[in-house]
Amino acid sequence: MVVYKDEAIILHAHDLGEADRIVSMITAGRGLRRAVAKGVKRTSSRFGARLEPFTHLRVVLHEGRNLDTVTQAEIVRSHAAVREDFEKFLFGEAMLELIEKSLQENQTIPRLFEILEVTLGILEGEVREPALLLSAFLLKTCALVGYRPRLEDCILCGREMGAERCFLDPGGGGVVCSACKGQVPTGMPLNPEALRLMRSLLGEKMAGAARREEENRLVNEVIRASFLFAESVLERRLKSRSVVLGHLERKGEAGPGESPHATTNTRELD
Amino acid sequence: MLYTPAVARLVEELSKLPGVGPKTAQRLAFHLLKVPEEEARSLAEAILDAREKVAYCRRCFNFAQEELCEFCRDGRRDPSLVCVVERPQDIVAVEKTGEFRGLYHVLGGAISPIDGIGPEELRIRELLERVRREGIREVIVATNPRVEGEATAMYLANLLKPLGVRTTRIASGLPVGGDLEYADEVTLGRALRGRLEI
Repeated sequence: MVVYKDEAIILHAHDLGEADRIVSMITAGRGLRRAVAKGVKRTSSRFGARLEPFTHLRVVLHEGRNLDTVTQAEIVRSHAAVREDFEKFLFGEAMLELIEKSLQENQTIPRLFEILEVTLGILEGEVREPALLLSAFLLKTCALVGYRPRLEDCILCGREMGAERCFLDPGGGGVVCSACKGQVPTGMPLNPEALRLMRSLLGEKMAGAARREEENRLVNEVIRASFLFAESVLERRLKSRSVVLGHLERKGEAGPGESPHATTNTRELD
Repeated sequence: MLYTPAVARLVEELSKLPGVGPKTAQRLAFHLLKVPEEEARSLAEAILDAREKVAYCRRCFNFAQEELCEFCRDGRRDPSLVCVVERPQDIVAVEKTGEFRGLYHVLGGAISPIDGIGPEELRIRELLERVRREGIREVIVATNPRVEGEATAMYLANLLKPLGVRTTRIASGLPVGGDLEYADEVTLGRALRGRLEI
C-alpha cells in the first residue's frame, strides 16, 4: 500500500454506510481520485468540515485497489465565500460537476486543477454575472480536455462568421453558417452578439469574465449554448444544468435587483 | 448455480438494501433460513405492514400512519414554531434533545445542483404555504451543516424573510467533548462567530 501526499479540491461526497463518506477530488498530481473518509459524519470526526465540496486541501491518502483512504487533511483554502452565498454555490457546484465528469479515474489533464482553483478564487470575490463566469469555465474546460469550440468560422465551409445568425453544432465542434445549416441534423440558433460573447469568454482570462455584465437574454443564450457544447463533449448530461437554468429563469422573472436568492453571509438569518 | 433459486432470490433482494453487499446479503439470507419460521414470517409481515400503513403526513411530510403524524396531531405542541429538517430521521435526532416543542417540516433533501436537486425537487412550496396559512411565528432551519444544507438554509431565509416570519438557523460549532486542537478551521471559525456571552 502506497501513502502519498497531494493537493486536492473536493468535488463531491456520497454517503457510505453509517458514518463514512466517499469523496471525489481533483488532485494536482494524480488527477481525479476517489477516497473513503472514515467516520466523517460523526461530530467527533477529526476531519470536520475539511472534506466538504469546494475545499482546497493538502491531503495524505492511502492508495487502495479501488478506493483510496483519507488519512490526513489540512485546509489550504476553504473557499468560504462560495459556500456562504447561494448563487455562488449554485454556479460553483456546476463547475465541480464539470470537472468530475471531464476526467476518468486517475486521469490527469494538466491545468484542470489550476483552472478550477483560480476560478473558485475569482468566484469568491465580486462577480458581476456568475453565469458568464460559468460559461467561460465550461468553454475553457472543454478546450483543456481537447475540444476547443471553433467559433470563428463555419466548421463546414470555413466562411468567417460576421454579423449573421448562425447555429451551434456541438457534435461538429463549433458553429455552422446559415448556408450550411441544412447539412447538420440539429443545431442551436445563435445570435451574432452571443457568438461574439462566447468568443470573448473563451479568449480572455477568467478575471475578465467576472467583470462582464450583459443583458439577461444574452446571458441565457450563452449559458445554454455553453452547457450544450460541454454536454456534447462529455457525452453525458450535466445534472446541474437544469438547476442553474431554473435559477436564471426565476431571476429573470424577479427582475433586476430583485433576485429571489439575494446573498446572505450571516449566521443569524432573521 | 451457487444457490437454489429461492435462496438466490433472497440474496439478490437483500443485497438491494443500502449498505448491504453480496457477502452480507448471503449471511443474512442463511440466518433467515435458520431462524424459526415464525420469526421470518414476522419480519416479512412487518415490512409489508409498514409499506401498507405508512405514508407521508399531509402537513409536515414526516412518516405517518394516519393523515397527520403524531407531532402534528399533538395539541400540546406549539404550532407557531416550525423546525425544518432534510429527512424524517432528523426529527428523531431533534426529538431526542427534548428541547423542542414545536412542529416539523420535512423538505425531502437539500439543494444539490451536482445531484440535479434544485428547489423544485424539495417541499419548499408547501412550507411557504404553511407559513402563510398557519400563522407560523418562527421557522428554525435545521438542515445538515454541510455545504448543501447551508445553501438550502440561505435559500429558505431569502424566501421566508419577506413573509415577515422569524427565520433562525441552528447553531454550529465545536462538539461537546471535542478538543480545540483538532477542530478544523471552518468549524472553529463558526464557533467564534456564534460565541455566547457567559
